[in-house]
Amino acid sequence: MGGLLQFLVRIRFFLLFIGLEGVCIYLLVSQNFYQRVVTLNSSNEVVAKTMALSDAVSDYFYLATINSNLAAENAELRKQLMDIRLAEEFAKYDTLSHPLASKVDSVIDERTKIYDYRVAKVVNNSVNRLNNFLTINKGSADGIAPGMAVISPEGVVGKIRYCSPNFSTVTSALHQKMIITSSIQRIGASGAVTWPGNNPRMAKMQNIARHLKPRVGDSVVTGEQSSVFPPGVMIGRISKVDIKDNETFFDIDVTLATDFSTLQYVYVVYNKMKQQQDSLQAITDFKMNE
Amino acid sequence: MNSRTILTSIVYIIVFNALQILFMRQLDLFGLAFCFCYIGTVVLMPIKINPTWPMLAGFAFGLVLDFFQDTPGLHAAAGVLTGYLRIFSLNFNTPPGGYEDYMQPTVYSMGVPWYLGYTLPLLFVHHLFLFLIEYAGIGQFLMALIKTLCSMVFTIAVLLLVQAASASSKQ
Repeated sequence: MGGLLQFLVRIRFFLLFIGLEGVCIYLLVSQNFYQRVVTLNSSNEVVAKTMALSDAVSDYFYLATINSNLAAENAELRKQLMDIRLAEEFAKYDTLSHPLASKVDSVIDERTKIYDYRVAKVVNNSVNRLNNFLTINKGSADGIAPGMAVISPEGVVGKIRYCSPNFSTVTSALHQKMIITSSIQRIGASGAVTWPGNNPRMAKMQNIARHLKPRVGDSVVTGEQSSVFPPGVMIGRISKVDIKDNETFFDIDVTLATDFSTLQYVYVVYNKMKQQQDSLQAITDFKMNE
Repeated sequence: MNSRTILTSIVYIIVFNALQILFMRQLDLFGLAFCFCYIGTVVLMPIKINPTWPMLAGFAFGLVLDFFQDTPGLHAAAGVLTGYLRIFSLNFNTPPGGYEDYMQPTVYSMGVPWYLGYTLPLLFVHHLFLFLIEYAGIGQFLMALIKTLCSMVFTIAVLLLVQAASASSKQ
């Protein structure tokens, strides 16, 4: 017994090493632990405030880019507003197209009824790892909750993961577990966009069957079935279409519309009907299984 | 080990971790070279310190960086390994007369050959271990190796710069 104790004392340095590595591996492997210790991530107040400070410095270098982005977005919004106004004008004078007028109204109505948008600033961002996250400066105090969609003026960004009162962590689209329900706008074919993990501008689109005809340059947008993202948000453009003779699905490369490396402002989208949609779908699945 | 060595260590800890968290975290060169200068706190601890401390330091500062990067355990694991191996690298590189009390593991105190012989293996192990964990296996070993070698150049450049700055501030 004494000999054993002496031996343990002699290798205590090695034992401490094994113990500490054990803790690390436990942290790495165990997702459950991570989710319970919500404070130990970048939505933690102290951590996030430090990042906001370092971000304040880098802000100045991006002012020009942000300006041009905002101007472009303004123009786009103005154009949309114009379209709606024109439609309303026509509807007013054209007695036959009252249905159109009511349609325009209902479209606007529906959008404002279902989706709520909040602007947030990106205080921390990464693109060079295999699983990337962002931190934004709005949290549960601003009505943000895990599971909401995050988009930028250019396209999709990701999904809210954790919230603290004033900050939230976002799972970026550049995350290996992120799957976005999407469709090719021109042909209406739906599939799933995933990120293979090497190039921050490139994603893969899956589940496009061989009888469909995707072309290089087609827009890929978020699908109608997604309960997280509003339908029709830009994801990117197809840059390569490939299929092997023995395969059922196309191998499609998508150039992402969002440049994650210069991302500064994002919109958090809150789908007010999400709960209804999800619970209804859950009930349906349950009944089907019976 | 006198109070001045301890003070220098504390300054290194603050400088390296502030650099890492505020600047280097978001920086990469060509998507290949990353700077992990927080490991400088482990590498530059006093030579005669109890070898348990570098290991605990590697764990603690690795974990702090992990909080910022949402990678729980990743940098901590690599930091602990580096802290564990530090004493072996020191023993392997012992100069003919043994270590004296005034010696510090810096390039100014020990000279370039000793410094590279002591630091490069530690950085190599740290970076390679880090990238292998991140790639979750040895499937992309070549890519991990390339990133390791590029990052070693970046990290050691930053370590040398900080040492040069601290040497010039002492004069």
